[in-house]
Amino acid sequence: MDLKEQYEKLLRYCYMLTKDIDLAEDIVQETYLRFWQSHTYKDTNKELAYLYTIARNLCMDEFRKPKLEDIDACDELAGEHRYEPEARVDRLVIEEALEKLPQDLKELIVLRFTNEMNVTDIAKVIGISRFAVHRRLKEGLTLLRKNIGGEAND
Amino acid sequence: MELILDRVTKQYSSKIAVDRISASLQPGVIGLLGANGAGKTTLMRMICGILKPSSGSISFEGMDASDEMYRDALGYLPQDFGYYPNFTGMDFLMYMAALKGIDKKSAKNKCRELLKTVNLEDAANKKIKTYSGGMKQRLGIAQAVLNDPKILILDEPTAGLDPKERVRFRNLIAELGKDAIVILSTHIVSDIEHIADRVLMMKDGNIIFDGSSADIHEDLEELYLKEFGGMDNE
Amino acid sequence: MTDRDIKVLLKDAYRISPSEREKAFVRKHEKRSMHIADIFLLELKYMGVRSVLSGVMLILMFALISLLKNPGLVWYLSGLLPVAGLVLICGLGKSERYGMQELEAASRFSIRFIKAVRMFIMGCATLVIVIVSSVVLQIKTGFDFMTILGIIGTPYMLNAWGNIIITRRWHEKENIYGCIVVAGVTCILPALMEKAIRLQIIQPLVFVILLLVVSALTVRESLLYIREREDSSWNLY
Repeated sequence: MDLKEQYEKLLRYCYMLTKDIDLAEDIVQETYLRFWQSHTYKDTNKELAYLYTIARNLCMDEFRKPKLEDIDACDELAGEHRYEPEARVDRLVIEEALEKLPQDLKELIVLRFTNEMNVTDIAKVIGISRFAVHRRLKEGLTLLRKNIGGEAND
Repeated sequence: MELILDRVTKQYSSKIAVDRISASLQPGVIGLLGANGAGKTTLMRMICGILKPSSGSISFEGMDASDEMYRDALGYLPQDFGYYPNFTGMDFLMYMAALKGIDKKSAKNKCRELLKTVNLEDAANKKIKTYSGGMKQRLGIAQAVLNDPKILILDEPTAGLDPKERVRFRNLIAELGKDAIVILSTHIVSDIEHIADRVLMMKDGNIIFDGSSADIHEDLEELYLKEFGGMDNE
Repeated sequence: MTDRDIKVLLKDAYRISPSEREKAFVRKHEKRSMHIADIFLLELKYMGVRSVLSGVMLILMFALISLLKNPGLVWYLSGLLPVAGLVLICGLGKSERYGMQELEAASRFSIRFIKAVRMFIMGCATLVIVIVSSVVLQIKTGFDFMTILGIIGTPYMLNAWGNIIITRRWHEKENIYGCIVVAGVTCILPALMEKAIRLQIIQPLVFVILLLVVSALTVRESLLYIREREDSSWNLY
């Protein structure tokens, strides 16, 4: 995977966590710089879990800062202008459904299906067993389907 | 973003080709005018880091012209260049992209995009030896901008282009000059009089005129003829 | 909606178009991906059909000659090696020959580095040929290793030395003719050497010493060739 592709995925993940596009971008760049202090460029594919762990910790640090208490208020808006113009309605549907999931399930789902990370790496990043990842992914997908289905019936 | 020439000198055993030239160049199109033998090419080569000044220095954002990262920000179209036999236009660009350190995947897209820009799409997979002079020149321009250079050095870029190509080329240069330092050397006043934001005129290794497009509007041709009149003007 | 549909949709979730900041960052750091190894591969890839073909032909000739059950074997090989050297030199000076040197010099990886890489590739290729033929000769002719090395190495090294001198000082593409002349002369050398040894005018050991001296000179010349900034070639302007 080249840097561009990986960067984009990491950015989507951080955006999902922080809901602030500029902040997410700061975090992604900071993540890479920290990663490269101890690794080379070539290592990023091998050490993907480590890369995501750094990013995740940086995002969590942001949550602890008081100034971001009202992030939900500016939900989506901040990043809207950078959404690709061809964004389809489908996507808004899936994102709305995702937002209704508990944070931990949402994170797992995004890592697995949006960022297409393997289960072993996800387990390392989140710090749970691979078995737990599988179980929770299943749970998340069921909930997600319910969320989407529910909307369709409205 | 500033390219700084500080008392740049190039001395060969018998003569001084470039004599203590100092200048600070900002983004925009800079026309470098002068007759053949005025020292333009020597100066350009020093700015490209392929010729070492006898004294003085050239730097861009703190990087010396001999640094790898300086060359990374550089695009260069030499006055004359060759190609390895059997190269197609696409091969040539891919080879240059690799030397510029662009990774293969983005290089491929970039090369295609540029071949389109210089209107060589259809000839991309034809051997360069079948190209006309103008086509080869356009290919040279494409390789110069492959790495989105911050400093673009073009030595007599319009040589071999037909009038229609010249116009298209001028537009391309003006576009590039929006966010890069473009130095265009020529001995044809009309090549630069409409697009250059600044004109430097060189004679015998010295800069004899340095003015913005506002000052030069009317008297450029006249000044040039006065300075170089009677000299080789082709 | 099935899980599969959902998974497809999920691939697009939170997709964000790249900002200028992202592009700048990626561009700045992506270039880390180009390593020395990539340059080696690149130079191998662009080695040129002719160089590769002549290389293959030479190796075939070596193989054929090696099949001969003839004590004169060593002299044939010795005469053939400079030709191999010539092919390699052609590859080395190709930037100058085809007028690519300015473009290569102004690119990120300087021509100095490219030259060094080329020289290394060439050097490795010949080293393999020399070692393999020495071993073959040792088995086939029963000469001792040092003698063989002296006999086959000396003309080769003389040729390499001469060719690098020519390539270093003479930058026009016509320098190839100079290289051909040097190669031709060194090809004939084994015939003289054979006579000298047969008539016991010169001891084989002398060639070994000669080889060492010429090798040292070749290394020196190669270093100069690499180190030399392009200054000399532009002095005409």
